[in-house]
Amino acid sequence: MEGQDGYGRPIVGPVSDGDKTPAGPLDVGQPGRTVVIQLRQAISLIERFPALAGVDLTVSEGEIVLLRGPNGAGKSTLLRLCAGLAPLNGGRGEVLGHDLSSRRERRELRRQTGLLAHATFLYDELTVEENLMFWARANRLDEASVEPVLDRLALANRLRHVRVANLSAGQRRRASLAVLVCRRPRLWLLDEPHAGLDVNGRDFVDGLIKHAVAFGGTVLLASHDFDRAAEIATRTVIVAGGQVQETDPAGLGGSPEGRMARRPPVAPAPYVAPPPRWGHEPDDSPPPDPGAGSPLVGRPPRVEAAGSRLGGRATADPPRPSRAAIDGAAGNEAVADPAPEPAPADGEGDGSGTGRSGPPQPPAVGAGPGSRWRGRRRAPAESG
Amino acid sequence: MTVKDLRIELTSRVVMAQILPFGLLILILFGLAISPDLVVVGDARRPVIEEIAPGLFWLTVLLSALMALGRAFALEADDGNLDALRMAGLDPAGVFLGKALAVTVQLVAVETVLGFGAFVVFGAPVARPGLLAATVLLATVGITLAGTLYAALAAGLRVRDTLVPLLVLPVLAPVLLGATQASRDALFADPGVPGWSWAGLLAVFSLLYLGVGMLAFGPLLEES
Amino acid sequence: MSTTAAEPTGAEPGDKPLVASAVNPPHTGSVATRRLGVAAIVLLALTLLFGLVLSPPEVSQRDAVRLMYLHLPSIAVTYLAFLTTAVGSALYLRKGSVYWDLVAGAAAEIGVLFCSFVLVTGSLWGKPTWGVYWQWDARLTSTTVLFVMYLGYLAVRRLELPPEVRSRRAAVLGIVSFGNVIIVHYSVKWWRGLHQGQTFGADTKMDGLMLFTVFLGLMSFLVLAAWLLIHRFRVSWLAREVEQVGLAQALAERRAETDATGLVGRSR
Repeated sequence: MEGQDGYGRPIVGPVSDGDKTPAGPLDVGQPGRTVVIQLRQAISLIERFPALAGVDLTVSEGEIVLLRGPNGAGKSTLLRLCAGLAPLNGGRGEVLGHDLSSRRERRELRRQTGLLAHATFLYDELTVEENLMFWARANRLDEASVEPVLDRLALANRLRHVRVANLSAGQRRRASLAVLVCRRPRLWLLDEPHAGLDVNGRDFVDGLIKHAVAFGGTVLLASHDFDRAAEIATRTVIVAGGQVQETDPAGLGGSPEGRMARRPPVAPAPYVAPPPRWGHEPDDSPPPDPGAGSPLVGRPPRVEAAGSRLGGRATADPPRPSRAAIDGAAGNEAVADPAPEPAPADGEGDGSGTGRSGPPQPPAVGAGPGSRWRGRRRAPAESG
Repeated sequence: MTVKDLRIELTSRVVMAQILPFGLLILILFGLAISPDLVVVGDARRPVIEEIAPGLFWLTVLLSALMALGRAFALEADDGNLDALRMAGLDPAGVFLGKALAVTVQLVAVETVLGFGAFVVFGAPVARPGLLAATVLLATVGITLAGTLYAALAAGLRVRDTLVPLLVLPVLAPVLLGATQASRDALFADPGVPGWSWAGLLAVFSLLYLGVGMLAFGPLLEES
Repeated sequence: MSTTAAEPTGAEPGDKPLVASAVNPPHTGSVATRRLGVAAIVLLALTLLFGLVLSPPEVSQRDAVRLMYLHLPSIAVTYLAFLTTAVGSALYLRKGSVYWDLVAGAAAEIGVLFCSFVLVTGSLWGKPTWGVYWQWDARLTSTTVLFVMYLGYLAVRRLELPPEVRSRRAAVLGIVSFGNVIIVHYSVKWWRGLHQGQTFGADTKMDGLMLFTVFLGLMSFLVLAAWLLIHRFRVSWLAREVEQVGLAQALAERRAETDATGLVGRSR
């Protein structure tokens, strides 16, 4: 199945035939990095309105891409498209190695992405804890994984027994975030993550994003809180008129194709962002029990099949020095995780550590044997 | 699917407090609409209201079921939760069963109370309790399975409240028939009515919709 | 209609001949359908002639029996149409081709039309024969349920949904409904069968000319239904094409929104 119109007919000229030909020329991401999102002239309709009118976008693993644009430009739809929720009505698209035009693959994709949308995805009548438990079970997660998340998001107190209907908007958002964190997606799609949150909350979101990327995730966010979002983003993309218009060239030397220009993504860091915590004083965080891994991100989302496909497609994947580092970091997260850094007072400071301005720290520890989530994902294609 | 029962907890708190009184109210209204004194001469002499009690009871159940179904899917439409369910990658058949099970449990609860209500209001005797129990169970399962399937068709739409009855009620006509006939037999031990055969029809109906629902729920749940 | 490859407008080339839209302005007629239409008219006229004039009145029912020449063919067409809907729906779900979806929808509309015919002629016939318009007859009841059920189907087809979603839901409904027809029919039959004997037996012995008239009516209604189906399908198809043109336009407009924002310029 390919790009289709509303009735399932192919509408755009030549297209790949789905699974069989994995669309070779699509792969023009960062050399040596897996391409996570790949859209070519993607069209997505809402009812009959072309919310996306031919989007070209390529996002590689580890990037934090900020979508900017006026209201109604198509940002949310773009995020939904990447989440496998909005239909791909024309053009082609591949996210996490899943062809968006195939219903079956989209279903698979949805399980690996996390979408923070305007809707909260919460049941009003249930308490925060019940909601989290339900979604954890719906996502086939261990219920035990809920507790640390509640704790991290400062929901473990009184709030956990409050029905969602009685929460304030910001608190609801926090609860939605908690669900997202529980899922530990590979691809984080955040629609206005900062909206309605207080400073603590925004800091938390920033920390979360960095943390996610440090553990091999990829983040796409739409935000109107431009200064803050630009601070953490590795790249800014402007969306208007249902198209990706321009990539903010700030901070990069302009690659041959201007619109694909980017700033180097966060170094696949030897540095492991400390799991963020809701609240001002990161120092307060009690050391998570060893062996738990990152309480927020980092457990492998079960993506064996897709991971292998994606891995196999990565261009020329040379043995990268960072690979061992990240494997080590991930593998050793059990040990190194509890805030290995003297975490700066604010989320702001963390930015320096993530390799954008400062040089990456040396690998924290050597490659651990565990190498949990790297190892599992990459196994079929290569072993780091 | 068992996961969904979690929702019953909350639902029972919120909505059973409305659907149940609604059902009782309808029963009472039926009682008002049909004069209780008249005696009809059939094979036996019975008050009219007793004669038609099974039918009234099942009609009431149908209407309550419609409300419960609407409620079950209103929950999902609440805040984009259908999207979230899709994101979770649940098995559609599981969602279908879970939904249907949740509604069934609620409906059985409602029926139990309504049954007592009907017993009090209409004063019908019970000749074959076993058949009655089987009928109630099978009919309820049939109603919820078919109802869940059809309610999903209209899930997340503004016209849901009007569309679902239009779709579901004709489909449930055989259930209404079967349930009424079977419970008539259960109540009066009517020789002319093969109660167990009607119960069998209900079982077949339920089984059919079990299969159809599990198959069809996937295409329905996809993208709305 | 734009035909650029990059725009999601055109139909598949293979589907083109289905509609004679090359003619300007696009219409739904073609040589074949015109002939079919003429045949339908002729057959209907013949049916009228035979039904009203040539065939004899029946002994017990007298002239009321003439309604049968409309009633029976209508029933046949109704069932055939709903069967077509079910088959079309199944094929749509299987192949995902819009063609079958439109066929299913068109057939359902025709089915509902003829079903209403059945009900009207049935109750008109009932009045002189039974003395009442409505009887709790098994066939009558189940036909009514069937009628309402397909009204629901048509309602679903009109839902405000993305076309693909709507088609899929309608297809599921189209299949399930047909199965339901069977269940409803037998349960109702059983129900009535228990309480009273068959209200009226099948028309047992029929005059040769009457039989011929029934047959003629059947033929003419079938041809009429086929003609309607083809045209209804073509109309839906054209409506879809129009939508597609609208889409191309909408795409262009959507893309043009860019300039109004001024964002692009600023970022440079």
